[in-house]
Amino acid sequence: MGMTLVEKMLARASGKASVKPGDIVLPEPELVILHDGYVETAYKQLHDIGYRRVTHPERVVFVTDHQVVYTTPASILRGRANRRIAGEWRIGHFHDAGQGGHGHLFPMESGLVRPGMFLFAYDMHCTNFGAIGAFAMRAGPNVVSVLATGTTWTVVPHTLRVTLEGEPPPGVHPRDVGFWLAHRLTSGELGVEFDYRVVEFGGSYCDRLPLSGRVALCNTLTEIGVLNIVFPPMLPLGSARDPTWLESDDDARFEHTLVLDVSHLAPQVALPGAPDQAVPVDDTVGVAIDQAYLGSCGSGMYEDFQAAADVLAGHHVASGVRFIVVPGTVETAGRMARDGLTQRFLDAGAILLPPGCGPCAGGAGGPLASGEVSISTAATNGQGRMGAKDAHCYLGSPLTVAASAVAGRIADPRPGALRSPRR
Amino acid sequence: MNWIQRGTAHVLGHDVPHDGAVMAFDIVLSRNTNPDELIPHLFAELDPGLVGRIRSGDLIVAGGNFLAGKAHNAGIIAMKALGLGILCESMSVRAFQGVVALAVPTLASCHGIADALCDGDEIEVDYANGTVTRCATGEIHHYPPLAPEIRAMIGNGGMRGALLAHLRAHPELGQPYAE
Repeated sequence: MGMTLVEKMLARASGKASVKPGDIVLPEPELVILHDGYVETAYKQLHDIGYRRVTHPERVVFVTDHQVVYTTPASILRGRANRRIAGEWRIGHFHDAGQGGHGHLFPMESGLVRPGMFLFAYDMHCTNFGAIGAFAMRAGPNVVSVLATGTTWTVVPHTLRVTLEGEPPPGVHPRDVGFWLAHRLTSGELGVEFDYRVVEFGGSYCDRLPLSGRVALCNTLTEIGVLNIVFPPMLPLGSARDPTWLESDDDARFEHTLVLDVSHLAPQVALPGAPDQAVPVDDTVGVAIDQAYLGSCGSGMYEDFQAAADVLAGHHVASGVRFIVVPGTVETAGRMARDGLTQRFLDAGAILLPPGCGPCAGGAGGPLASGEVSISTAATNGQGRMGAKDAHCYLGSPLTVAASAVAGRIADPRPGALRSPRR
Repeated sequence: MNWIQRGTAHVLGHDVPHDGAVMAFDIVLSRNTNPDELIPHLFAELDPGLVGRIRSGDLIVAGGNFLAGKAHNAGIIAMKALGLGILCESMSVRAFQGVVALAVPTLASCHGIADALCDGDEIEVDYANGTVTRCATGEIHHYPPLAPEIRAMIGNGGMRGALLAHLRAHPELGQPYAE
């Protein structure tokens, strides 16, 4: 019996010839990634019980994406502490504020995370790395155990194969496909278990996706409770395949296989509460907004901003709407500046924030007040996620967010649907 | 470790998330790990009076997908400090790793338990055998027990216990690097 891509990566990292779903394993990661919000917590836990070093500091990556701009005295102190800890532990890869950008994106751009790699990370949206065929397992608070001992226990998951066929109409983005699929899974419509499953994508739709599209799908499904999402390996620019890359065997054990047609899909909007509460955009068109936010680990790549800028073309952000744009990485921000995209956003009246999580991290740089309404490409939209608990956070694709920023209300991004006065 | 626990059942519903129900999201974001400061906020978003009714050693009984959403652990820290146990119909592996890490005894596959028990029932749980007894009636419910290897992790103090053992085996990790 063959193995899936993820089973192969877990077997290799665990020093085993093969693994099967349900096995408890102790995989050894090539990297361990923590973001700036958890470094001090991890350090304190280890320091309090006597640790003064970590095992394999050369494999440890600190990224700074949650609080890139210090807006409180506490955030200044946190940044200072993270620098001290990185030095004290001799961390191999320390990315301070302004260096790298979003920790779920720049490691792919820079080649730090590569196809076939197994790694642990604190944050659940490390599943983004499945876009290049790497397997990053969210360790959560158990990342402390990885720092101290080099690993932590985990359970080999089942894999669900999802084959997406067809070409959606113009105006439909991979985030829409993600919202739609998340809803179909959690509503039980597809009749398959997804909790702690790996979703392995394939099919003609996926074959055509650029890395940003793959990231959009990885990111959007993460919040529903799947363990991970993987695509066949690729390099960020889609260049030549490497014959040593792992892929699922033809006779691999998939728990279920779904074949879905996306060719008639409409843009989707996730209602406040969770990314899987998706409805066709028509159901929400006209809801007045106070803020639109474009960015996050789900929609922070160059192509996301390029697509949104095309929607903006010739239009201006509606009066009274704050349109916040957060490039995912320093590299993307630089490319946007060089190619004129930044100027297009500024000309339209957008507010640019530095690379990182942006308001998705608890409202940083763009919080919502009580009763306010936002539409964004954030990774999630639970109550209080971006400020006041009684704010209303809708999610949409980069296209829908840009169209809504222009309209001042949730808008349909499909060609011809944008109704706002041109400048 | 004693694998039998007796206390009052506090019955919750299905899909109770950690963030926004077990613990408010702003407290999660504060990264506070002090149980004394977390306990007053436990379940406050779900039922502000619940923590006042909970006594040390009680049992939290929940439906499917308990501790849903992001697998943060502030609420689990508070539950551990109160000596609570968890009986639920299901829980994600991520959440289960969290309760094991904090050594909170948990039966996570108790099919139908949220309907089988009433809020306020006095119950006795045997984690090793997977039995839950309603003390008033003697009625016994059988569920999958806690696996021996998981019991070993919880019995050894969860992640903290494992880390202390690792440090004893690798004393060099307790030495700072020379300047």
